[in-house]
Amino acid sequence: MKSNRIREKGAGSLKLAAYIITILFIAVSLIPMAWMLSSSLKDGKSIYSLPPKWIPSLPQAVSIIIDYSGTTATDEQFYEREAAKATWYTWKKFQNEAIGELKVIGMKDDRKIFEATTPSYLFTAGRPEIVPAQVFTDEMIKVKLPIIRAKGYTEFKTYADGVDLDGAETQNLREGIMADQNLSTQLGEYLDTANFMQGSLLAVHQVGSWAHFFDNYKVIFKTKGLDSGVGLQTYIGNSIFVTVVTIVLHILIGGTASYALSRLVSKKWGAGLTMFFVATIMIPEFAVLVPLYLTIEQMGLVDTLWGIILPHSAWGIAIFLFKGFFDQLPGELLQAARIDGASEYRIYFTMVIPLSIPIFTTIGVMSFMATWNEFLWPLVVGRKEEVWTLTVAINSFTSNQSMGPHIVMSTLAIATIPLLLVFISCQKLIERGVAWTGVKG
Amino acid sequence: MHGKPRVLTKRFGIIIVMAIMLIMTACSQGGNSNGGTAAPEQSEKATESTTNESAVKQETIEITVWDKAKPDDILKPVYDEIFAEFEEKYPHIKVKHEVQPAGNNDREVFVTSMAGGNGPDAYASAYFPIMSDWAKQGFALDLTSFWETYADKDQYLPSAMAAGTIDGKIYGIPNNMYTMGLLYNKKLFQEAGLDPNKAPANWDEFVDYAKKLTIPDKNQYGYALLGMDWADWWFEYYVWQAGGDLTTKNEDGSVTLDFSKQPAVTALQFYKDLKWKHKVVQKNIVQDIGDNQKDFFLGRVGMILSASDWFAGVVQGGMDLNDIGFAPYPVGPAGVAPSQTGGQYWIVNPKVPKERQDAALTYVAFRNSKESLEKMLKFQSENGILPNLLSVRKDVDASQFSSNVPADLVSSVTKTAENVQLEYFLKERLGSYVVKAIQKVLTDENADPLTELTAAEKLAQKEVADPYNKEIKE
Amino acid sequence: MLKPPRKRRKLNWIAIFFLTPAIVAFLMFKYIPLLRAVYMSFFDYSLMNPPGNFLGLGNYVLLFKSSVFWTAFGNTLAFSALYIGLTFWVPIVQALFLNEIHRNNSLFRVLYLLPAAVPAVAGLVLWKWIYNPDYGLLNEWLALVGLGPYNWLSDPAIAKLAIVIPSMLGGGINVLIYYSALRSIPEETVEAAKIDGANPWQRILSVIFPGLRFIIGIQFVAFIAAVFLSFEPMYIMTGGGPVDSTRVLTMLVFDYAFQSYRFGLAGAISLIMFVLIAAITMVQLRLSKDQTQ
Repeated sequence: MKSNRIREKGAGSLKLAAYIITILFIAVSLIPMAWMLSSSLKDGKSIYSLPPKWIPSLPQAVSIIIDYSGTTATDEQFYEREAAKATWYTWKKFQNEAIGELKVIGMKDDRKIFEATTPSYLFTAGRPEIVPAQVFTDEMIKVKLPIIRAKGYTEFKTYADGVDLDGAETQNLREGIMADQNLSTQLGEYLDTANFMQGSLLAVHQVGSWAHFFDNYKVIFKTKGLDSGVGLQTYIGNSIFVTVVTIVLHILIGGTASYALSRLVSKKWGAGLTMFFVATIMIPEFAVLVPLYLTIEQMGLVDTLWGIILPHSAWGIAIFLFKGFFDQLPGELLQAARIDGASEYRIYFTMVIPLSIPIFTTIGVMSFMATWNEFLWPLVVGRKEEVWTLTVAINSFTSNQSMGPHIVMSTLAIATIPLLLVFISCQKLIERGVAWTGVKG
Repeated sequence: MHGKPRVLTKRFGIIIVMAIMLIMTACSQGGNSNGGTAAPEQSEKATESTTNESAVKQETIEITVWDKAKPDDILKPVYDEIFAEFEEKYPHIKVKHEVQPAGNNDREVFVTSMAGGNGPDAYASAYFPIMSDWAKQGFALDLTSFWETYADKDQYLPSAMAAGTIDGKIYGIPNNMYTMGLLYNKKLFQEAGLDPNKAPANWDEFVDYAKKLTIPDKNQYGYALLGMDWADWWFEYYVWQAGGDLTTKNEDGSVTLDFSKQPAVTALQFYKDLKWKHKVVQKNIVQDIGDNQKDFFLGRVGMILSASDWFAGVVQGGMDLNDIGFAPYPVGPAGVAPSQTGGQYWIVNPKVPKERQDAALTYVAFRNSKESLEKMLKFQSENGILPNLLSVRKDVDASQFSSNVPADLVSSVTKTAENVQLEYFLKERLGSYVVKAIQKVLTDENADPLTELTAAEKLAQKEVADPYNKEIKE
Repeated sequence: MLKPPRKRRKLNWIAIFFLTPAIVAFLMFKYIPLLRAVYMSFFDYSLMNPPGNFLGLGNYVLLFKSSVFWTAFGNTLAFSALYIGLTFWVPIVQALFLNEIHRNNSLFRVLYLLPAAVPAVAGLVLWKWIYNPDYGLLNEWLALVGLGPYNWLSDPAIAKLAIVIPSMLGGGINVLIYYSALRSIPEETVEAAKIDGANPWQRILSVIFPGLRFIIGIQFVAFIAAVFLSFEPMYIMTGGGPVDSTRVLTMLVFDYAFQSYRFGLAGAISLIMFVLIAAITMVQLRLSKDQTQ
C-alpha cells in the first residue's frame, strides 16, 4: 500500500532473515512428509536398502517362459495348475524380492498355449492364504486354485490351439536371462532345479514397469479380513463416521447449550452453569479413563463406534468458545426479532447461526482435528477390528509382521489426506476462526 | 425465507432424538451403576434364545469363546471344521466364536472385558506365569470339582498342570505348551564358514559364532538379544545356565529374591559383554521382539531364541524350513541349559451362571480331546507346519505328524524338551525390576551388573517381596 | 437484558430443552466418572468384586513410597522442561518472521499448516522410522556431517530428546494463532516505534513481541497442560523405556490400569494429575478472563 515508503536501515536484513528462516523451517518440516511419500512407493526390498534411497526403484515385471513341447496333457485345468504353481511357489520362494508383476507364459511347439499374470499387490494380498507354508506339491495347488480363481489373484488365459507369439514375447524368448539381472538369474536357477512343474524352463525375463509403481497403495486396500471384510476401507470409514458424528454433536449440543447460557437464562444461572461446563476442561481424559471405560461397558457400548463417540459429546472447550462468541452478538438485533414475535428456535437457527459461522467453523475444524487424531480412547474402547479407527489400525500395522515399513508408510500417507484437504480448501475459514479464538484465547 | 421452517423441524428432530437418547442412556446407566449387571442381562439372553428355538428340547445355552481364527490364520479351515463338529455333537450348546484381540494387549482386553461383565465364558490364552494372579483376582473358575469327574484328567502331563494348580486347586486346563531353543540361519552359518548342522555348545563357542556372524558392512549381526520390556524372559535362561534362578519359592510359599546372587550377575555380565565387548547384537538393543524376528526373517541376524511353536511364523516371514536350525541353548558356566517351557491354559469365567460354565467346560473338553488335537496336528502336518511337539497330553504324540518337516528340526525340538523348567516364580510382579537392570546395563557401557541387580533387588524386596510375603503369612 | 417478565417462563422451557443434552452428557462423561475415579482410588479396587478392600489413603501412601512414581513424576517434569526449552518458542519465532513476509504470505501459511495434516499417531510412526538405527534417514544424514550414529530411541540418555525433537519443527495451527495475534497489533503502535527511530529488529523486540504477551501466556498454560498429559509419543515411540527413561505419569496410569489391573492405584495417579492440571487450567482461565476485560 505504502509503495513509496522510505527504505529503513535494517529492513533489508530483516526481510532476508525472514525469508531464509521461514523457508528453512518449512523445508525441514516437509522433509518427513516427503520421506513418508518416498518410502511409501518403495518395494519390500529397497525399503531396507543402505544407504536409504530417496528415489524409489522401478518395480520389475518378470516373465517366466515354460516349454511344454512333448507333454501329453492338454486340458485347461492342467495348464492353470501349472501356471499357478509357477507363479505362487516361485514367488513365495522369493517373497522379499522386488517383483512388481509375474507373468508365466506356457509354450508348446513354439506357440503360446497359456498366459497367467499376477500383479504384486494381489500376490501380497493373497500370500497368507495361498502359500502359507512352503509345501510345494500338486495336492496343495488343487486346494488353492479355486481360491486363486475366486479371488481373481491371478489372471489366466489359455489358448486351446495356441497362438503365435507377438514381437515382445519373441524377444523375451530370444534374449532369455540377461547377465546383469541378478533377480532373473536367481529365479532361473531356482526354477531349473524345482521339480513341481511338468514343463521345462525356457527363459526368465525382467523389465522395469511403471504400472506397478503405486502397488503399495493397492495392497493396503486389498489386505483385509477374508470373512469379516475388515480392511483399510473399514478403518477409514470408522474414522470418518466417528469424526463427522462428533462434529455434529459438538455443534449441536455445544451450540444450543451455549446459546441458552448466553441468552436464555438469568445471569446468575448462566455463570453457574457455564462454570459447570467449562470447569470440565480441567478434567483430563486420563483422570477418567478407567471409570469412563466402565461406564461405556455398562452401557453395552464397548466395541461400538457409539462407545467411541458418545463421551466426546461433553467438550468444555466448545461451550467456552461458543458462549464467548454468543455473548458478543449484538443483543439489539435478537431483541428486535423477539419483539417481531420470532420464537427462540427460529432466532437461533435463522439469525444466530448465520451470524456465528466463524465460531461454528472453528469448532468444527478443532473438533475434526482432535477426533481424527484421537488414539487412546478408541484404543481402549474398540478391541475388535471392525471398530478400529485409522489411528488404532496404524498403530497395529507397525507391529504386523506381514506388513513391511513401505506398506505402513502408504497407510500413513492415506491417513494424511483428509486433513490435507481440509487445510487446503478451508484455509481462509480456519484462519478467520483462529484469528477469532486467538484474540479470545 | 419460506424454505427455512422445514429445515428447522428437521434439525429439531435430530436434537430431540439426541436428547432422548442421552436421557435414556443416562437412565439405564444410573440403574446399573452397582456393577452387578452381568446376571440379569444374561438370564434375559438365555430366555430369549430358548423361546426362539422352542423346537429344541434341551435348553439351548449360548456361550462366548475367544477362539475364532484370524482370517489369515493358516489353521482357519481346521478350526472351522472342529467348531462345526462340536455344534453337531452338542446341538444345545451354541458357541459364539470371537476373534481374540491380537498383539501385545490381549491380556488387557481380557481383563477389562471381565471387569465390565462381558468377558468370554472360556478363554484359551491364560499364560502360565499369570495364572496365580488371575486365580486370585477371580478371573478363573476353580475347576477342582470338575477335574474329579473329568474322564481325561490323567492324560495331562504333570509339567503342564503345574502352573495352573494353585494351593492344591486346579484353575486351568492346559491348552498348549512350548519349549524354547536357539534358532539359527544355516545359510548365514555357511557364509561365515560355520558348520550349519552344529549349533554352538557353550557360551564361549556362542560368542565365537556370533562374532563370525557379525558383518557390519552388510548390516548383519550375530545374535538378536531381547532387550525390550520383556527382557527378563530370555535373560532368565542365562541365569539358569549360570547355575541359579532369579527367585526361589520357599516351602511356606514366600519368595526369596536372588537377583544379586552370582548366577544372575554372571548372566548379566555375559549380556553386557555381548553388547559392549563383543558387539554382536542389534543396534536398537531395546527393539520389539517382532523386530528381532523380522531381522531374522530378512537374514540380518544369525541367531535368535525361539519357541518350538513359532516355525510357522518363520516360514510366513519368508524363510525356508531347510534353512533354519534349532537346538538347545548353549550351556553356561554351570554346564547346564534347561529349556524353558511355557504355554497357555483354558480358563472358565467364574462370573457367569453355572449352566454356562458347564457348557464352557464341555466345549474345552471337546477342544482338548484326543480326536480334536490329532485332527489339528494332522492338518498342520499336511500344510507343512511343524506341529508343536510338546503335547499337553500323554496320549497325543505330535512327532507322528511331522513328515513334511526336516528331520533334524524334529529331533532338535525333542532334544530341547528333554530338560525343561518353568519361568521364575512371581515373574509377573517382578519382571519390571529385572528388566530395568538389564536395560540399564545394555544401554550404559559403564553400568555394573552387580550394582544394578542389587539396586533392583532392594527395590523389588521393598515394593513386591515384602508385601507378598506378608500377605502369604496372613 | 431487558426481558419482559411475561415471556420468561416460556423462555426457560426452551432453555431447559437446549441445555439438557449438554448437562446430561457432562454429568455422564465427566463428573460421574471423576467421582468414580475418586471413589476407586480409596480401594484396592477389585474388578470382579467391586469395590474390593477399602484402603483409605493407602494407594496414595503406596505411590509416594514407590520409586516408579517418582521416576515417572521426574520424567514428566523433565519432558515439560524439554518441551518448553526446545519447542514452545518455535512457532512464536516462526510467526514473527512470517509477519515480515508480505509477498506470498498466504502460501507460506498453508505450507506451515501442511505437516499438521499428518495425524499425530502417523507422525510418530513416521519418526520412529526416521530414527531407525539401521535404515533411518536421520543417522544417515548425520553421518554425512560426521555425527553419530545415535541410538535415538534406545539410549536412555537421549530418548527423551528424541521424543521431543519432532515437535521442534513447529508449524501447524500455533503459527497461525501467533500470526493472527501479530496482525491484530495496531498499526499505529508500530508506526510510533518507527518514528522513534527503532530499526525493524529493535521494533520486534520493543513493540511487536510485547504485543504477543497475552497470547503467549495463554498458550503457555495450555501447552504445559498438554505436555503433562502427553501419552502417545511415549507409548508409540518407546513404550516408556529404555530403563524407564520415558515413563511418564500418563503411561503409569495406563500400565497400572490395563497391565497390572490396579485400578485403585491408577485412579490415585490420575487424580494427582487432575489436581495438577486443574491448578494450571485455573491460571489459564484467569488469564483469559483478564484479557477479555
